[in-house]
Amino acid sequence: MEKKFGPIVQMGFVVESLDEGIEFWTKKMNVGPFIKIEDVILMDQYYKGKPTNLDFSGALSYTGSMQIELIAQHCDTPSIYNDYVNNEKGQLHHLCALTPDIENDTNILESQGYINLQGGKTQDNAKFAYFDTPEKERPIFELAQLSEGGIAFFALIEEAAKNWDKKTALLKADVIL
Amino acid sequence: MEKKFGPMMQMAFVVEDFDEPIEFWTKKMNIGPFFKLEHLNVKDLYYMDKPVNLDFSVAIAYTGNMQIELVNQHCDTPSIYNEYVQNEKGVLHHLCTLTNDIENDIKILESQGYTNLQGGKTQDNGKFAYLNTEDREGPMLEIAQLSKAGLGFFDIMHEASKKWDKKTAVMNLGEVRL
Repeated sequence: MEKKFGPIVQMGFVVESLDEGIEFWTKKMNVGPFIKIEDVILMDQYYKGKPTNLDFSGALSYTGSMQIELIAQHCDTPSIYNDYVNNEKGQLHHLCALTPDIENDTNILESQGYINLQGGKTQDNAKFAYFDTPEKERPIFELAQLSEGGIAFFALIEEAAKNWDKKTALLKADVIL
Repeated sequence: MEKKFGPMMQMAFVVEDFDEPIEFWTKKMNIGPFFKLEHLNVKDLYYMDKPVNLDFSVAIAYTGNMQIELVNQHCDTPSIYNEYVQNEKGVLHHLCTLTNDIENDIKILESQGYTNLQGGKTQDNGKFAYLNTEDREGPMLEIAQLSKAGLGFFDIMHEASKKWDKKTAVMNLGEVRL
C-alpha cells in the first residue's frame, strides 16, 4: 500500500478579511487575480469526529503552479480555522495535495500517526480532509480528491494568473461561467 | 516602475536539525530527495543594516515546482532565522521569488512599507534579500537574483524530485542522473 497523493498544490492562509488578504497578495506579492467563493456550501462536514456546519468564504489564486487559498470563517463554531491553531496573521495554515484515492491515503497517514481532524464534501462530491500529527509540529496537511469539474475550475484560475494584468484584484466569475 | 519578480518558488522553514524534518518531509509528505548545502559560504551578509557573519546550512527539495527549504542556523548570532521571528516548529518562515532586477524590486517594496531586514551575496554574486512589512499581513518575502549557475543548480534538484524513488531521503548533486 502506498500513498497516491501528488505534490503540494495549495498553500492555505486564514485571514480575518478576504479583502485585506487579497489586497496584500495582489499589491505586494504580485499574486493574483483572486476568485472569491463566498459562503461555501459543503456537505457532511466534521470537526474532531463530530458533525459540524461552518460558514466560511474562500478566495483562490495562483503563484506559478501553486494555489494560494485565503479562508475567512464567518461564525464562531470551533474548527481548524479558528480553534485548532493560533492563527497569526499571514501565517501558513495548511498545505494541500490532490489524490485519486483519499481513503487509501487517509489510511496510510493514520498509520503514520496522523489524526483526521476535519473534512467534508463539496456539492459535486469532491472529498477533502485535514490531518495533523499529535505533536502539532508541522503545517496541517489537507488531502483532496476533486471531481473533474473541480480540477478544471482550478486550471482556469491558474491560467488567469498566468495572463494577469497585475491590476485587477478579482477574477470575474464570467471568465468561467 | 514595476516589480520584476516572478511567482513564489520557495517556501522555507527554520529547523533545529535536519534529520528529523527530512524524515518528516520524505516519509510523511512524500517530498524528496533533499540536498544538503552545509555551512553556506555567503558574502556581504547584513542583518538590520549591520554586517554579520552567520553559520548556517540549508536542505532543499522540490514538491512540484515549489522548492522546500529547511534552514538550520548553527550559531547564536542574531538573524532573521533565530531572532526576528519566533520560530515555532512547522511555521512557515518565508516565501522566496526570483527577479532579474533586485534593486528595482527592493525599491518598490520599500515604497510599499517593506523593510529590508537581511541579505547578502553568494560566491557567484547571486544576490538575495529578506523583506517584511510591519503589519505582517503575509509571510516574510525573500527576493533573489541568481546567476545562471545558481538557476541550473536549482534545476538539477527539481529534476531529481521528478525522478525520485520515494526512498532516498538525501542525495548529493553528483548522484543525480539528468
